[in-house]
Amino acid sequence: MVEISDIPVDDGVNGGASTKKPQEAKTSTSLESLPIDLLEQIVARVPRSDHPAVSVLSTTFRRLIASPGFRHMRSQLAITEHVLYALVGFPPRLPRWYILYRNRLRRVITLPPMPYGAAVVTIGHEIYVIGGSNNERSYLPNVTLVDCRTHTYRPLPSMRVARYRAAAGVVDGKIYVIGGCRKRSERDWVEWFDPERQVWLARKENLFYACKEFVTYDVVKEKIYGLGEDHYECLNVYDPRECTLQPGLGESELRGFLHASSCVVDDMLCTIDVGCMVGHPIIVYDGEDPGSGVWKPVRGVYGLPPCLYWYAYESKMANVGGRKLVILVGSQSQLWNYYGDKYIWCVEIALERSQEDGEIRGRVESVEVVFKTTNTTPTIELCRAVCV
Amino acid sequence: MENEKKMITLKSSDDVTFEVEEAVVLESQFLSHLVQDCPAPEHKIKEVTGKILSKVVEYCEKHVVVVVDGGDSSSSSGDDLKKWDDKFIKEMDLSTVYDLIAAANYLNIQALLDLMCQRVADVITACKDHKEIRETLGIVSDYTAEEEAEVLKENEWAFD
Repeated sequence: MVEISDIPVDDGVNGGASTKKPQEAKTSTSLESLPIDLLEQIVARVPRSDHPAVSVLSTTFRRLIASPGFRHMRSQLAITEHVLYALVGFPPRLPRWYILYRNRLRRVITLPPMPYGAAVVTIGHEIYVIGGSNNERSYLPNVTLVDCRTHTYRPLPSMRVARYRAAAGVVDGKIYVIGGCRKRSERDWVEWFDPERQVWLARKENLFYACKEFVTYDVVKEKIYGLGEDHYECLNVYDPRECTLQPGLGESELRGFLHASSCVVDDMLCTIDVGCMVGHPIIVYDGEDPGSGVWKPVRGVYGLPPCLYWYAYESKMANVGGRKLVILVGSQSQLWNYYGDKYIWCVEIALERSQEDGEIRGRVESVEVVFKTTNTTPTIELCRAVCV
Repeated sequence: MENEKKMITLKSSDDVTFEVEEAVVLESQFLSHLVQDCPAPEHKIKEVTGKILSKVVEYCEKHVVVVVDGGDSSSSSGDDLKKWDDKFIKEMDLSTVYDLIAAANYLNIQALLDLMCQRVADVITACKDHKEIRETLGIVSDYTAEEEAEVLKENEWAFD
């Protein structure tokens, strides 16, 4: 007969902490009597949206949620969640970050106001806010990093050139920023940030067709698509690997349909076809399709709020995890400031590509009002998904 | 040509004994090392009570990997197993769940540990606010009023 407890325990992983408390058969065990590494394993499985409530439970839980070990545990367990953030402005006040939480857009008060016209990209749980303008005349080179796990922020090294309404995209782990410079003759039309080395770099490039300012941008297959302000003519496709910038795909069908409310889902460029020219409100430009250059309808999308058609050009889209498309749209035009209630609607659509015929289908998962105000009409600057 | 199944006896801290097949013991990394290293017929597990050990044995017996002909390993079909797991955890009070977490960690049974941790996480997630979590899990706040206000403010977006 062997007394197991006398044998040295091979538990390097757990530090033996869990073996210290002998169990008493009579009294019932409480959660807090578990060693901290086991508490970590439990709380790591609680969704991000419930972390605030857990932090408030007691000092133990607050420390646990804030600890690096906790984040490490979540990444070890491969727990990733996609959370939607939106920059919403109430002119003339600068835009602020809002988080979509329990079906409501809520302002994150620990984050400061952001400039108008900043280029925004996300890497994992971090948002990069690049350049922009604090008022009509200024162009900013500033870059701010927002940590969505802690809702804290810090400045990053400034760009070489001040930019307003630049296009940006992440390719091979580097953040490329295109255009938005005050002068078209600016030397560093494209520059990129290396998050590992924390430096901005640029090289001389020959960019004849560059748009000046961009209304939307995203990455499709390692190329950055930026739609210029004069949107019917100016689409730029920048290939960071080849250092080439192509003009707006002149004859392709990308012309005319694409507008500021767009994003990439599963290598497909999505937008709203206000006139339903192909018979459906949501259309995609399918990179997978061999007969490239064709907008395809997303079939099966019904029950959208009417304001999505009326104010489609003012709506904003984001790809939230995998193949889900989220659209935020106001119930009034942001060009006017009427009396009464103003709403922001949120529409979630899951996209699916049929294996048989390559058709794209959409399933509307939710349509609801996520924000309501009687003050100034909000402007939805942009929305982005982060992975926490 | 079937080998006779090797049986092993486990004894809990309060001297409850369980006779199980060796395959069942192999679900626990800790026990499988032990069985390999010391071939005694009976092993006492001082850290785990009979009540909890019976649950551990029940779980391991259900989850034991059966090696079928052709070398491809399978347990009970995935769906059935999941249903069984659901029933297994639903019948348990939280105190037992905590004990099982500690036991699964000690005995190094990863799947059981995952299942039990998820169970507690689900209970937390199902609560509507921090007050309900405190109540459900019996957690006593050690915050001063100021500290609590500070944490609430930091996370203001999450509270109505």
